[in-house]
Amino acid sequence: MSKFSCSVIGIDWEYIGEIEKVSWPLNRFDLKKSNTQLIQMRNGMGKTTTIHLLRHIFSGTDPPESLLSRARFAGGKKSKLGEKYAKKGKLSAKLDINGEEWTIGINMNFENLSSKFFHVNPASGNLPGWDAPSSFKRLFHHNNAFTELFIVDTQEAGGRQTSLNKEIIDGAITGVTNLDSLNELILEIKKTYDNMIKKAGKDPGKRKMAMYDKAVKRIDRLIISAEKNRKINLTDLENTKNDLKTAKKKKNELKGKSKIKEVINELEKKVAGLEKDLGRSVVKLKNAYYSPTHLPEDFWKGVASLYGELHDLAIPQAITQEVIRRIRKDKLCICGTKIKPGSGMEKHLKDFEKHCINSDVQEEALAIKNSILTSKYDDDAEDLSEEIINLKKKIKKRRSEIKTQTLRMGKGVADKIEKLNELITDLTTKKRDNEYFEEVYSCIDAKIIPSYAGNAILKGGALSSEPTDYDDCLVISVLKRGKKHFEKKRDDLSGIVEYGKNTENVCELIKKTVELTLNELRQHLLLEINKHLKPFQSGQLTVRSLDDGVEYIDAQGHIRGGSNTGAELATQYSILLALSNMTECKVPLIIDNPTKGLDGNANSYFKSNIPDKVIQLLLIIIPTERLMLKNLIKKSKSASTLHRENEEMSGLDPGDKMPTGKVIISEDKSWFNGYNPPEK
Amino acid sequence: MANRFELPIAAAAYHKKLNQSSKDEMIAEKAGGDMTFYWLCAQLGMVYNKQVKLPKNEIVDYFVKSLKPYESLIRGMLLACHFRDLKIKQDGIQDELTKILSSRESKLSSEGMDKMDLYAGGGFQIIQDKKIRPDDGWDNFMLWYHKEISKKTNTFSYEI
Repeated sequence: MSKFSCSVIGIDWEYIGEIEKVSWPLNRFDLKKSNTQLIQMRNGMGKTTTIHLLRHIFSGTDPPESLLSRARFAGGKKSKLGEKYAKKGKLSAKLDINGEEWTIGINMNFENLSSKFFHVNPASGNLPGWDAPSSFKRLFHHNNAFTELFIVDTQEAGGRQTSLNKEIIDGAITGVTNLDSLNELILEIKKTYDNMIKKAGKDPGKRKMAMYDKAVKRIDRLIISAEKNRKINLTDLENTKNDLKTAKKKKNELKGKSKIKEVINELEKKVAGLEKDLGRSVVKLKNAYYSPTHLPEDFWKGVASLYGELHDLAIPQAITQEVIRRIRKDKLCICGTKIKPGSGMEKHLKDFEKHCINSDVQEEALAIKNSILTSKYDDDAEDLSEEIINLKKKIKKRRSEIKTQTLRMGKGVADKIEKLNELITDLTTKKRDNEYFEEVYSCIDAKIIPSYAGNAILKGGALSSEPTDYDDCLVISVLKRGKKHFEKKRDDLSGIVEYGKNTENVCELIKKTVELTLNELRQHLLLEINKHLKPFQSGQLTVRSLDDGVEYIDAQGHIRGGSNTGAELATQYSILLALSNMTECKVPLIIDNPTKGLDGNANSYFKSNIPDKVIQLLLIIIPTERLMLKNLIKKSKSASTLHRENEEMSGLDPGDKMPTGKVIISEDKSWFNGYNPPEK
Repeated sequence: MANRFELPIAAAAYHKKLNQSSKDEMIAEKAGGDMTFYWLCAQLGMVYNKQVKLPKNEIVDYFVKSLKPYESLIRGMLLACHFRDLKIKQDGIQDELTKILSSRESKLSSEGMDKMDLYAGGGFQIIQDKKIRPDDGWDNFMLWYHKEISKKTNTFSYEI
């Protein structure tokens, strides 16, 4: 990517959270003199909401209803102004993009939770919609994952096992390296192809082609939806696994370290062992009933005796249809007699052939007869059933002992453990459901697919030619085959088959190139990230791979999918620094609650190194964070405080009550350093 | 005419619930589980000579791995029950063999599969009539199944 730089030079709030109308900054700052700005406000004023809305301002994606609802102006309770303006709000950011000043903002309607972008273009003024210079668009437009990397809500880090997932990493790489332009090229090529199809479809003789085109689009929507749902399901599965882990951990913690815990653990181990035995016995009994030889003795003997009779009667007959057909065809009996056409002999053979069976059926009938006559009645089902009953009794007894021991810990603890047990059962079921759906979405086994694919696969295994038959199909591989099926039909009719094939090949080639480049960049990025991460972490954690999001390896050689808040934030900052080193792309680092999660060493590394390595460091802090950011505050030339107009540095009004005036901005450094509102 | 075995829709939902309510150790086969449940239903239907037509969905067109070793015996049971059902005598047997068997992977013709589906419907109807709850898991289901099958003490009495 050619040189790109962007910094935030202003933020305007209008009726967001508790803020009525505030513009930051009051005095324009000079990034060359100091690239660090701090905005201080008390908790609950709208700090995190601002951070999240800024992400949407950069990516141009509509904020979700949950965010709009959070952004709803709440100051109405405290100010007369609020009641009037609470229904609408606005947040905009003034940006310096490669030296040009642009403003992008969101108008929000809190009544129907909707939003609309606007932008101020230096050439043509205020315009509706989201727009920005093409370099900015290429980098940020719809790249939510990338914006999460440099507009940081520290509360998100460490909350999940895999917060720095594949999407964030790949989104960041494609964003800063222009790889997205190759993906855009694919879209352009496809668009040209679609136009050709549209053109061909105007021919009245080709209405059928338009129908196939409609089918392709319909299935394409189904594929997008299935892939989206699969992604949601996988995230859900991951979260359920984590919740399950947490519930089990909590249960373990509740049991404490007492001797009772040891007894309970011992009993639980026994129950787990018994449950495994029970599972094995149930499977054995199920397997036993797969064979009909386990049916009651008299019943099975009756079946066997029927086949004994067939055996005695030489059924099926030894002569098959194929033999008679051959004799009739050759007109020669096996005894050497010639068969004359229209003779009684020929007529007899014709009738006889009808009652004979073909060789495949005969072979199978003989195999059945043979296997039944040689089979023996099995009597182990009863033993297995008793084994199951005994195991169930033992489990019940052990469980009752666990209950007694748990009650010894006190009723409160016992109740909590009971509730956790219920939660663990529910989560286990949920996990199994998620696993089932993943199996369906990702199924590629041709033998199993028909049971998951609804009507999309016809009897006999062929694909349905009725587009609506794909509506209930969740198997992504079948949907993709269905799409190709209709694409082929459409292209055959449109006479642009060759072009279609070439389009597909070129797009595939570009996709592969993107993937290969992405792989190489991931490797390069990995080395760079670890260079930055080392001083943050004192070498405790290393990023091992970026192929499937961030995967760590700790000093003991254990591989981990995620880490604590501090390590995740340190990684996040390291990724941004690495990307910035690898390319000429300079983006601001905007952080909400910057001290959260970073311990002593990491925090001092952050303060002394990060500001020099980014184009701009904009920190939105709460007053209690000042102590940990002392040096940064000292160096910064822009430190603002958002507080209420009748508020004193103590956080109270002159009458020692909670202030209710409207929110204003102060750039007085003594105010900034002395502001100490009571914590909520 | 079926080209695949068809499991009653309600039975598929029942089977799913049964798996959900059981520990992983009790679910031997992840793939092909619907077919084994189908067979357990069909076998119950055959023992009680109950055939019911229910709304159903296609599953597979072959005997899955766990049933493979017994497929000849299973087809043998189906034929025996079919002869019993239609009171087929000696001279009709060859024709019935041709109708029920085939050279397909399952070695059953469409008619043979239809017949098996009817028994599976019958077996599942028994499970529903007896109000055996899927939430109680595979352990309780198999105990009940064993009890129900063992109750049938009278012989399979049919002579050709």
